[in-house]
Amino acid sequence: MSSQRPLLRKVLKTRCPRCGRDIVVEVNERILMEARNNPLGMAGIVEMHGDHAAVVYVDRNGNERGVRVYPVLAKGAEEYTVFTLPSASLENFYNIGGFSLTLKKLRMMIRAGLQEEGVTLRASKGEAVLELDFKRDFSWSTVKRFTWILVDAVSTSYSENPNDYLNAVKLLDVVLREPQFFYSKDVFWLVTNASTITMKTRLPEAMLFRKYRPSMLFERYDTRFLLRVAETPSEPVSKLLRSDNPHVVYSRADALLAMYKRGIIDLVVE
Amino acid sequence: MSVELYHDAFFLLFPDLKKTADAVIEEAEAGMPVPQEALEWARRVKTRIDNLRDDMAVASRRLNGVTIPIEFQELEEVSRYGFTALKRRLVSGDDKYHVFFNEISYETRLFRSAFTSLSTRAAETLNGNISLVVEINDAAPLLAVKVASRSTSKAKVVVADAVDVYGSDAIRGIQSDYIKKYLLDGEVLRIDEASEYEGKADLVAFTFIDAWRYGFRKLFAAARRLLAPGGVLAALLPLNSREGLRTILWAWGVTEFLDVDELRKIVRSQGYVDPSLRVYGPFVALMATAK
Repeated sequence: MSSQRPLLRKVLKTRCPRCGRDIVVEVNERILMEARNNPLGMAGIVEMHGDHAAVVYVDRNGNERGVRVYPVLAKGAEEYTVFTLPSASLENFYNIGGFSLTLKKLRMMIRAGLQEEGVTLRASKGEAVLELDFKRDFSWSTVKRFTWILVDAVSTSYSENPNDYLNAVKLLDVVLREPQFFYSKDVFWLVTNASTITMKTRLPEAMLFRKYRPSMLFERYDTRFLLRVAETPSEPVSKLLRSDNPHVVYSRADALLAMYKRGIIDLVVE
Repeated sequence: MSVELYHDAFFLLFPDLKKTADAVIEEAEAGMPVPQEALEWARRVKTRIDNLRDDMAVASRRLNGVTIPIEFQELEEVSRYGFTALKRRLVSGDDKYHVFFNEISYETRLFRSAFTSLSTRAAETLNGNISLVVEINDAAPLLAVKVASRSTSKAKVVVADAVDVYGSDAIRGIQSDYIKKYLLDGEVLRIDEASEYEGKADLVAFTFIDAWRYGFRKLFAAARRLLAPGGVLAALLPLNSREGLRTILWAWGVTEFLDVDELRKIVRSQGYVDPSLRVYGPFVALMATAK
């Protein structure tokens, strides 16, 4: 049976804010499905413009939600910008000995502590490939499950900041140690996009949230963090998540998503 | 403050409800996309409030000189937000604000007192032996997870939704979050798919607007089917037989009207024993045992 092209729903025309070039993108069922599955209800369509990539964000209704430009340092079409992180960045890792993450659409490769012969697991989804080396043995089903969730989240990520991906791998390392701890694709996605997203509080929701303090959130997350978010009009998510402790990063990302799901904050790509 | 004065005070919210209806109509007249159902809702609300103008005037006179307590001021504040959430739900189908409205309502003084009383008494009655708790049609199943968290063994929580609530991804996602975040086992399903749990629940709960919209008699009957013999029903219900709260809840689609006598009658006729009713302003916390 021949493969079918995704059904075309809409053609969007916009302009690159960096070089002014016209951008014409096709919104099809696959893009809409990606937006429906995304925590913020958005999907990005990448167009390469020489030294930069323009990403057109589309919501679940197929409407444009902004264009963001990312620098692409590679000179040739086949070249990747390689970020080799210092081995010190992995010193607190318990399970993962090294990793390599390739993001084809952004032509980025991030490597840390991975030897050529050290790859024990390779997971790929769309245009993301994650290779991992482990320090110890543990349940294969656990590794596979959480690694797949991470690579699935990364495949729809557009951050050019290697630290966002390092933080996501840090979370994976913790998940593998404590698999009973509930982690989700949405958390991985927010962490891997932290540098590209800004939190904005909504009124009157933030005011009512501070006043009535819903049990579900105030019993499950750090009260000081929740109040700090609700009292801040606008702040980059990367700044809100900043912590050396991956448990704290996870908890804060989860708390932000919980606030977003209730309309207390907006998470916008800027 | 007496129950009667609470009802009079709810008339104070009529102008805000009418403004919400006006806003829906204005959006439609300005050519913005407004579903027909939302527009019809707005017209019905306007007509009903216009028809109650004389009752509003009488209620205002009765309230003259009455100090409105903080308990009502909180209900007033969250209800105003609830109208905004209701408009967004009707016009754009976005339920996340409705969930938030549920959650902040639970934190008002009256609701918190009723919730604390219900969860404490239910856990004591069951003596920690709780293996299955079912919450019917509440966007935020707080009472079920609170009671299940007090089980001496790991209790399962099932959220049984009517079709319209189950059909909302936003609400279903939040309901699942409640189960996961309180580290419980469980599932969210449609109430007509809950037959495997019939006769097995140690506790059935329902507490807020989405449940009330389902209909009081249907709620009691569904709970009775789900409860094991000796199982406990824990519910928060509105005393909305009087005008005031009656129209406010009607705007949300609550079309049955209860007072304490009617409630007792329903409970008895549905096969419950030892009903215990505690009144919290215009609401009543009910506990009863299945025969």
